[in-house]
Amino acid sequence: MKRAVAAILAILIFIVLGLAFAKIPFGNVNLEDYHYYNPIQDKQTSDSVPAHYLKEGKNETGSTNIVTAVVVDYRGFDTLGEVTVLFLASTGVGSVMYIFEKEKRRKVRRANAVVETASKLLFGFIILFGAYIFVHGHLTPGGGFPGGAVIASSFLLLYLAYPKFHAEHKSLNVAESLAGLTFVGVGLIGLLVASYFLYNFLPFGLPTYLFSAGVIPIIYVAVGVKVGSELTGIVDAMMGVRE
Amino acid sequence: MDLFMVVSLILIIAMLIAALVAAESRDLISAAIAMGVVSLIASILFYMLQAPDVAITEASIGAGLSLAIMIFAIKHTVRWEK
Amino acid sequence: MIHPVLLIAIPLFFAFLLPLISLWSKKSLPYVTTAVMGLNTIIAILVFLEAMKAPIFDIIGGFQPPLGIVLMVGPLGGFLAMIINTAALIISIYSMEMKKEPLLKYYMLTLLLLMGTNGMVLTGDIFNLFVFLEVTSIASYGLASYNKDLKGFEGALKYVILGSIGSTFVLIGIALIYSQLRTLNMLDIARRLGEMDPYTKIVAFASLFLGFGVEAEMFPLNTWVPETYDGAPHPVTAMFSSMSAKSGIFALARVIFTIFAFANYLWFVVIMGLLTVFFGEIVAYVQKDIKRMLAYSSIGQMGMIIMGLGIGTTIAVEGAFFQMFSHAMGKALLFIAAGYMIYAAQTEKMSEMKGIGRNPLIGIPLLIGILSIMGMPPFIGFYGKFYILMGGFSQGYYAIIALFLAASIVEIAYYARFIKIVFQPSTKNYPAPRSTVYVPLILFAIIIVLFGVYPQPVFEVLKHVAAFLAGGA
Repeated sequence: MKRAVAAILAILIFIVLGLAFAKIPFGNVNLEDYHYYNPIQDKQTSDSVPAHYLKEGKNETGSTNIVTAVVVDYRGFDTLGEVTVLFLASTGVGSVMYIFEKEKRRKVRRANAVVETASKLLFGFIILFGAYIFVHGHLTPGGGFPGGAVIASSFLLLYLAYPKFHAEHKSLNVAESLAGLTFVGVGLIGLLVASYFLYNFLPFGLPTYLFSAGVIPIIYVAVGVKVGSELTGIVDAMMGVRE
Repeated sequence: MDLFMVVSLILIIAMLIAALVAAESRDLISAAIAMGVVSLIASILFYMLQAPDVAITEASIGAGLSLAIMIFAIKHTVRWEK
Repeated sequence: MIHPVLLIAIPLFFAFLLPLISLWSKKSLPYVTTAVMGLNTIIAILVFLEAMKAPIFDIIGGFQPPLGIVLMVGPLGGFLAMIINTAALIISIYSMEMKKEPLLKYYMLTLLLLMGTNGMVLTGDIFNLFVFLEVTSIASYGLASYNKDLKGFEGALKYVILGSIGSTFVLIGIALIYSQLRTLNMLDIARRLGEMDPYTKIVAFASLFLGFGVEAEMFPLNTWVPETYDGAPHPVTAMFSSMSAKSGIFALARVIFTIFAFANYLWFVVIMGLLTVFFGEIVAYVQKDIKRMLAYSSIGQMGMIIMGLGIGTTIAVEGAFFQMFSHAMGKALLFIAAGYMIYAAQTEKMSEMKGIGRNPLIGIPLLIGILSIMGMPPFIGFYGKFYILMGGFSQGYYAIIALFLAASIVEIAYYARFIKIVFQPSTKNYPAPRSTVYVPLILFAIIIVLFGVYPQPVFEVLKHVAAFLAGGA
């Protein structure tokens, strides 16, 4: 009975939402038609927000990758918030798993020799790939979040291959803090320099070059380090308990 | 129907099946793995829809890390749902 | 010119800095946190004074609004930010009672909770609102399970499930709006709402309303409240009722008035509010545990605020905002007092707390807080209820007023019973409260009495409600 009611309710919700989503114009059809209104200057423009990003993104932010331009520059404040969400998740997990930390780790079976050797070989390459992803975030697809996740997955590999391995908590915390401070610090410098928080105060340089797009690479490196260390911290906290 | 539509339709159906397995399975480990499959297919779909950066994130977090974390969590509790 | 973004950036900066500080000195963490909250309170007051003159638009990243994110602080937003920061400062004094490890994580989470609630109140961008909703709710999950006992985990788990469903609905609502209008700025959305398909508009509104309803403790979505409030550490409970609930209800007001511009009578919001009031007050009446009673009473009070927003006349919404102020102050006081009482009586049962209020340092602030929550005239709680009633009365909703009054009588009944137990003579000896307990109590009591006797400054703020209802900042 309960299951039937739940199923009917779920189907109803899906129908209601599905009908609403069915009215979404797909792709970038009529992208130019959504003329936005600027509430501060109180004027109607003949531009639409996505079209503006596509047209002016490169000039206004210096970033070749428009996704990065939107994520880090136009909506950089949201990215700061998302980084904080991840930070909170890792802090929360650390706080919940705290009681178990003092418990002794029991001896566990060693992993297969193939796994051990392969993970030792792959570890460096995966970290290199993650670093590449976030360093080139303003040029190629990717950025801080994927790069950090890739780095964390390389640590995950080590955790799986070597049961006794565990990352130094103190250094993870320090890396996390310094990366977060870099992000907020860049924002505060922007506030000082141009009275806009997270203002892109460095010269843009030439597009498609590594040293371009002002503060975007700095922020993305910070995000990458932060995400990597936080996810590693979460994995470590979860691995900490052994029966 | 072009190839793109056919492939994405197959992937979406596979994703739905995996999601149902994840919801219904009493073995929590296979439920977690089915969730990983959902994430993996989602990341393929993101790639097909020309969002490579989202695809990388989804593949490494959804199919990699969160699956591993979930399996660690299951190891600390019980494997079979009562 | 003062930047409201500092209210978000400073707690965030120090939350990232605390791990480094703890390497150097672990003892200084509570003082650093309190100092940060004091700094934030000062900035909040400055922002509020500036916003009273004209709404502040703080552009982030230097891009004009619909392209970039903008913080939109009107007089009411500034007022609410000031309330939240003041409450956070006073509660952080009580937080020094906290002895349970890991303290570093505790202070980080409180700072981030403050950052999230500030962001929800200040932002003028709907996706940014979602991000800060996430920050607030995830910080709350961490804090709710901080005690690491069964009760704490149960409450936190309930909160996690309902909270994530709520966040998903908020995200769906935002996606629907963006798909039709290709913008995320609240004022831009409000201006061009007519271009939206009517069906999509209703679904989007319903999604946002349900999503923020979880945080605002609205009736069918508030089953997490009693368990979470009961299981969380005492200072955290005070924070939930005075910070995150307030930011949730302000987000709800933003959705109703700023984005969707429903400035007339909203029958379903009023009914939701009435149901919330009834559910909260009646269940509170039968509770035996002090924190559960206060939690249900908190639901009832939030229901009154939702009702005031739903009635939608200027007077009723003024009453709702006044009620937010009085509830933030009064409930924080009561939860801190409850924390002391549970500590002193070694139990949560109210019947075991005979004579605990006979110590004047506890008893007098407690009495002031209870009378204010009940709605007695010389305290701030009176004006909120009175204005909501006036708002209903002027529109002729007599049935609603009668039901509202009936719920208020139930509320008065159980608080009177509580007063009777707490103040009756008893031979039991209770440990004397430390200064970290009675100083916050007295500070909250002073605010309650001061603005109860002299409410003109608050009415000065509430004059801007009419502009808020018309879709302003």
